[in-house]
Amino acid sequence: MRHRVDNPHLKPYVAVPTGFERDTFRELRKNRLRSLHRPCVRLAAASDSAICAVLCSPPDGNSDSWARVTACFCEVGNGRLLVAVSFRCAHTAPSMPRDFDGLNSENLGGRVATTGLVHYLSMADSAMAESPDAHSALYDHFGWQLRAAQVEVGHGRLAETHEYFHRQLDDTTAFGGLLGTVAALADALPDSRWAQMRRQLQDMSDLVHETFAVGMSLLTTQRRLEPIENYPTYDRHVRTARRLVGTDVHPWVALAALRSAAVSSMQSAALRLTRISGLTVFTPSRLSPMERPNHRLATLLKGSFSDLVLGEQAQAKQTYGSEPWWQPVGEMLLSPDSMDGAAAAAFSLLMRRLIDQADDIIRSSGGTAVAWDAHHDDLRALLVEARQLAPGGLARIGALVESPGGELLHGGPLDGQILELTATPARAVVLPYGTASATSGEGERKHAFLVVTTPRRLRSGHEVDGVALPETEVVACMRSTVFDGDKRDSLLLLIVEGPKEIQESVPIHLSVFSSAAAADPTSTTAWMRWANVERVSLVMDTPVTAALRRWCAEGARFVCATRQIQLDQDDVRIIVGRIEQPGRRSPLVIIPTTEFGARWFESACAEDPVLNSTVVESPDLFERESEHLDVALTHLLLEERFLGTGSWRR
Amino acid sequence: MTDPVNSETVTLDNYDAEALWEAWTTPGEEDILSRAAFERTLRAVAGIEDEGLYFKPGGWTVDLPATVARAACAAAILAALFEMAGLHDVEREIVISTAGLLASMDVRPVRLGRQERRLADRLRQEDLTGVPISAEQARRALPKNRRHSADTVADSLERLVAAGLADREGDNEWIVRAKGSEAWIRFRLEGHFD
Repeated sequence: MRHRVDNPHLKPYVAVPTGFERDTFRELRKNRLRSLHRPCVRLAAASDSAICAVLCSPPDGNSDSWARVTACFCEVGNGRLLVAVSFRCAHTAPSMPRDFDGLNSENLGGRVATTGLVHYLSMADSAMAESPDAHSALYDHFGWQLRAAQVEVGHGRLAETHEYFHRQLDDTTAFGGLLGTVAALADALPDSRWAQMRRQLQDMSDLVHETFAVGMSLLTTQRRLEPIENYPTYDRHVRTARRLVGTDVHPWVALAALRSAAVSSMQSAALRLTRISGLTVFTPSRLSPMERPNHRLATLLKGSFSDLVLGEQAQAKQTYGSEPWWQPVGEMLLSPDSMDGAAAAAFSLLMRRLIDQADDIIRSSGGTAVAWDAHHDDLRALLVEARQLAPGGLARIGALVESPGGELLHGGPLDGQILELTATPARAVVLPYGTASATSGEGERKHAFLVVTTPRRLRSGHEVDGVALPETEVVACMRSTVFDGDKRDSLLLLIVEGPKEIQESVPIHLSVFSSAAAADPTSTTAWMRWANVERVSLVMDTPVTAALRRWCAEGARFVCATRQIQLDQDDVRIIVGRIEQPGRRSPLVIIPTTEFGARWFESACAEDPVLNSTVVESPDLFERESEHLDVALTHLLLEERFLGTGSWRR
Repeated sequence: MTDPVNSETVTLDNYDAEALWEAWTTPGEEDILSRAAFERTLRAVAGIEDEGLYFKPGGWTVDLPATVARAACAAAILAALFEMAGLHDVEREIVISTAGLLASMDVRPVRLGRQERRLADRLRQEDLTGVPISAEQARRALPKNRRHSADTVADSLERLVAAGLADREGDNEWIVRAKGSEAWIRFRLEGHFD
């Protein structure tokens, strides 16, 4: 039996350029968009079957373009279900039969990291049960947090793209840079005036942020600028977006108009004035209304910016109305081709014209219009001052802080995403090593799992009982789950002072969090050297993009693969890889993320010249590394509450 | 506000906030800045303020003591008023405490009788606006067949003050406001002072 399901939610993203990338990026965009067309694999649990899969044909309907699917469904007992699945897009998959009837144990290709997971089966009756907050996300000027929930892909995309556009606005504009800097100071010095200042600045720009994020996330996920079902508190922002760009405007024009209005609103003199006066002297309330983004947005509304947009719409329709990309196709309102080649160049010109027109309206009302790229020096200078004010260090501010050369990098999901998982027990009991068994698993899979992390991570994820955690930057502990019958009751953390203390007769697997490696490189390096390199992983809970660029700067390659893993109520993507150089091999790098993050990584690899030349996909990496991944992923996904590249801050 | 949970608690939700805003604001294109001030303040008083920028479904609902709900609504409207008046940086705490004070009061509209309305009209016709006048002067401005005692006229002038049509200048002195310059809102504190 062959299943083909046309998934209506598998519509491509429209990748909207910020308008300011280097030309080389633009040339590569087509690759990125093509990659978004990859086939969907939808898996469903059948009550009478241990293995069940539904394959989707890709949107282009090419029957030769099958996905290679490796799936395992394990049903044990009454309604307990755990799923692990891997898949990859393969237009030609020589190792697989062209047509095959469903999946069975004979044609399952390769191993999947499920064996360890079965040990920790959850009690949930339904693997697809939704949490009330499953569609929520929060942006806090550093990154965003969301539930790693199994949600309908369209809703998941909407929530995460919404938060991404908040990030984009902060990372690419003058007022966003100021707000991010003050937010970093508020984070570093919580008992100070910075938190109040952050709130003031946020109150001055929240309408621009929300109008931009709501409008852009709707349009780029192929929706109309209309109220979002079940999100009533965003109706007013949809109304604002419609007033700003008009109600009957082609999405290609609407995207340019929204971004232009947002950029003009945020490119005020506030950043420059702060730099001139100094952060400690600066008082937000002294900013004149026309240097506040919300007021500038209101000025654009009153200044009939929408009439200018309508004029551009008429012109664009006349020029491009007969182009294939201008026409909607089914539910796809805006073809990805609208951001390629000549259409992309025209889009950039349109956006710059609209920015100029918006700037004119703002200037005529007494506001200052800073050119889109003229604020970078002010931002660098402000960051220097901010670092001096926070001698303990600042959290990431945009990508400036993590980029050694001070290059402006636009941050994405791999630079500040926090995923909240649901499976871990709430309570963790801390005991000295040697007072209880450190082993997990049974029979041949018996092992010990050692994690090197920070006390902050342990406290943020669990209610910690038992002996006190050490007052050190990092802590090493043997970790296992304690069961009460079938219920996962708590975590057991056995504090280990150093490698010499360990005496185990079973294989020891080690995972080191990157935040711990950053906090105490000496001790973490000692742990990693002590362990068997085949059983060591570095779990990224800090920004990845700049780290990868740094690691791969001198001829190294990042050999990697990406997989989807579903378990009980959670759904994550795991990017795994090793940095390889002749004669050197890194520990396994594990990057937990979402569908959005995995796609972002694909795009970054296509567009970023460094990553493009150094990231190498290795389709069977998960199978080759399964000995360690079976163990490490089981423990990480079922024993961590927060994962992701921003989770060090929790 | 909807569905009282008990005699002291009310349930406030985003639809109530929307209805309150629509009832208060003038029709036409929304003033996004006032609306934002309204929303921010309402949520702050109701204790549903978010740090950061959320995207979450389902709106919000909160059970509040009736006095707090009243203060939240009053503060929200006051914040919107300040924003419209160009006062962008009034501390939120001041708005909230002022609104709390107002919301704890028993606010009643002042209703003018025919006698007070005639007095106001007559004084305006006689060009006696904007200048201090006594009760006797006001009495003499009335037609002879409607001249009551000076005490009665003084009571009427006090009612005009309460309604925002006049101001009290001294013990026996009032200034009637010109048409169109009436006070929006006037508070009167009454009570026993030992």
